Amino acid sequence: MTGAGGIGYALIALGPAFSLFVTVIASKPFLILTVLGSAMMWLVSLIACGLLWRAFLPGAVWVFLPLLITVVAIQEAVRIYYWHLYLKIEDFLNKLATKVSKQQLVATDKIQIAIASGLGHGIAHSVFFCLSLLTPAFGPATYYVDSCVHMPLFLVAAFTALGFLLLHTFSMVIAFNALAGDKRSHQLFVPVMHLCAALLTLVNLLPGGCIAGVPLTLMCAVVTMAVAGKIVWDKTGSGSGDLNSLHRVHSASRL
Amino acid sequence: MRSVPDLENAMYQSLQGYPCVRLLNVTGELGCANPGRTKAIAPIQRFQDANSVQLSAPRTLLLPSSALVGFLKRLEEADGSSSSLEQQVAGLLIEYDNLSFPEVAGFSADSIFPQAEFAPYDTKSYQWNPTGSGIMYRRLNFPVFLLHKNSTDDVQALAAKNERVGFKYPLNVAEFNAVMRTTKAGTHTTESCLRENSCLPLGGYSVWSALPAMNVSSPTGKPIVLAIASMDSSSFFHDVAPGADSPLSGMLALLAAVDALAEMGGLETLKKQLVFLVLTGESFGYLGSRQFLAQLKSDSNFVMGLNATSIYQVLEVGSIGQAYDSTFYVHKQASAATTPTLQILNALKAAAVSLKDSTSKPQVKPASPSNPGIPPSSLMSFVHKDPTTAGVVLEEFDTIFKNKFYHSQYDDASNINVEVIASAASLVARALYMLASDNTADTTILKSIQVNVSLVEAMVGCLFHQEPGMTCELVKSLMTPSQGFTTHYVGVFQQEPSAIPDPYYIEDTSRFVWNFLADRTELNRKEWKKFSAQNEECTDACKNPEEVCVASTADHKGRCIVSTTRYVPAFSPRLGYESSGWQLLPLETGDTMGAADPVYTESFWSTIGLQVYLQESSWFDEMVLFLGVSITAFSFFAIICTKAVFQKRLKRA
Repeated sequence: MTGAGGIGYALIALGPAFSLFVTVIASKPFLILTVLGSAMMWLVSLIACGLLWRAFLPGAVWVFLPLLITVVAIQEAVRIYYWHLYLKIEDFLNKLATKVSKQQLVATDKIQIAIASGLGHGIAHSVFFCLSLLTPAFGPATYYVDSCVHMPLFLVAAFTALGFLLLHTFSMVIAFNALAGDKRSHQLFVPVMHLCAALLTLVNLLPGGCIAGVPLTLMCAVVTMAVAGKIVWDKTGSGSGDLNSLHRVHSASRL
Repeated sequence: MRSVPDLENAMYQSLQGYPCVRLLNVTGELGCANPGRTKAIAPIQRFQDANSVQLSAPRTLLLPSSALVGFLKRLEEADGSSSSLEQQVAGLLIEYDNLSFPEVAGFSADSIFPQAEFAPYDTKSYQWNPTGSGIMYRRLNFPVFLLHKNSTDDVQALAAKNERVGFKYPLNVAEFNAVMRTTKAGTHTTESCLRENSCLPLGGYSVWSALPAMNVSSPTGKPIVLAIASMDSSSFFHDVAPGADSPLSGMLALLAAVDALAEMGGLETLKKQLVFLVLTGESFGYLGSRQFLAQLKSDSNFVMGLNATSIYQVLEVGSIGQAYDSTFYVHKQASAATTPTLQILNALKAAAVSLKDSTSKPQVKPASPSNPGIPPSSLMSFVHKDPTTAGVVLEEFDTIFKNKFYHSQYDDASNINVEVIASAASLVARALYMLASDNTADTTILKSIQVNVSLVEAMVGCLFHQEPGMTCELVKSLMTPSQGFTTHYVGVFQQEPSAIPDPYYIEDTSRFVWNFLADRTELNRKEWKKFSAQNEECTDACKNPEEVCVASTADHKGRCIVSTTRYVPAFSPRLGYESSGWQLLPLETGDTMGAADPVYTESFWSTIGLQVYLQESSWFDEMVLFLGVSITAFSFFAIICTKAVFQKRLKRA
């Protein structure tokens, strides 16, 4: 729908990612690498899922149900694997810091790494599920699927991508915290929310479903953001730990 | 849908249609084009007839074909300097139809007296073609397409969808790409566009052949009987100009006559020489016949063996495919020399008498003396050159055209009758033999001249039907066509006019006529001892300059034969070709036809296309951009605030 429309859709899907990248990630090279590494890992998991399900697609509509369940399961398993990798790296970095007499990783560093990891997942999702779809949106035509006459396909894709971007980014914050702290309810929250959001997108398949499906996806994202916010709030609150373990005393950060 | 390219294909639908393109002449432009350099895009709206068209915003009009003339007339009448109705028309789509609208009225894109300015008499208001609308000569500032059958159904559905939503966006729009080079170059007449190389002159290659073959380097000096037909037609949409009755039925009759005469022996003993001439470009200022006469005058290589003084009599075979009452009318100009012209009429009558036992029983009658003169025909060029020319035009009609679809897309195979054409062919063949024998041939010989009806049927299938089209057996045995289904619009002249004709640049119809005539008029090698005993193989040229290469196709080589069959370039004699390109030549005094000649040229274009898709209103796109920018800005702001809040919180802790 012309350049204006195309850019608009791209900004809806990736604008917040861009903002987050510029304000939080860009100044720290290690975080940039984290974003890239996490994106790569997410893509590998996606390829694995694709190989698994290639033979069954395109198929009947009910195929989406087992497909979504297995894919979410695989991605959550990969998240756990990623967490273990992260622990190894955290250990290595701390040892390195001790060697050169610098401060070890503090809580804010860990939260930033979590955000970067989540952002990597989110950006990879947006690029593959939305950005590639947007190329025709730069032309003069638009497209409406039969089951959604309220908004163009591109708008649905952009909003859904936005929702999942926020979901992935802040899920990682919750997950890191939960896996480190061993709090069962928080550990379950991420996979359950991920599965919920994925299954709720099936609502879009119903005639006129996008009117409900898109807001639902965005709501899942908001809930996730709220939970992540609460966790970080609690963590940074007074009495939650020694000052030095929370944030860097000196502004010069080598991370 | 499996991929993004699939999505893109689903979004855009290309339509099949025939465009109306931009032509230019010495005074200005005609035809249709995009108004500027950009594509024309507007939502599709359908109306049932011309009078109900009411436009409140720029639209792509979808009209049934019966409404075309009425709508263009409405535009013409409403025309101040900028009629608001015309301004709202972004483009026009005409539905395909099976001729369901009142057939009795007929439809012709040409005028009521086609090419009246060339008539060698003063009554320019005579109504030869009463169904004529003249829309071919209109200049329109929007693109017009005639839709194919399949595309018509699709577009009707899209227009209905637009109606259902009350023309609220998103709407189905049509995108026209008919941007003409002459518009981009700002050249609006023939002279300026030829100078700027933004157009090419109309033209092609006419074909002449002699039976029996003549020794062109040392002609015998026998008086020549010239039989003429034309192979080009026209219509509002150049890609559908079948011209089955007018004028190609005449050409079919002439070709079938040549086929019959070629079987006869002893032609070289007759007193006169038969020469056949199939002209092209006659619909556009008689450029074929005028150029032929100009070539004769300048004694060019293309017409070696002929000269203007040796042409004694002219028999033109016009539209003869609808003579259902088996009566053919002989039209002549009052100024024609009495004796030789009467001889032609008598030859035709003798031919008719010899056919009185046939199933068709054709009759020959002189045309009504109340006619102002000859009907629109190539003979007009000859009469202008020499009013005493002994020539006649054989037609199916007496005082007005029988063809109700003259120069329109409806003048197709259903508009002609094979038996009638075969009957006319017999008449022409026997009359020509009679004339060649100086009207001395007896009935027995005449009766032995037999026309092959299945040949006529085959030619109709090749020239006027989609199947088999030009890939039919008859054509394929003689040449490889460049396309399966051909239109008979003359097209543009693509070579340098003095160059040896390169078959690559010659239209399929011309090539077919050339190969057909060469093949039929092939001289028996045994009769001419100076030629080798065998036909050599060839692809385009023969070692012996007096031989020509016939029937060279992609599948098999041709053979070198002795035949006097030649191409003659056809383009307006008002044009000349220099190293810098085509130029308009100054008008010679006394050249009445040249003064009347519009000198048609056709604009170049890079691509002509038509597609439809769903489009949002522009404010929607702007809203989406605004939304994206806002979300990005808001997130920036939110992150910075959150960062500040947490930093404060950490400092406090």
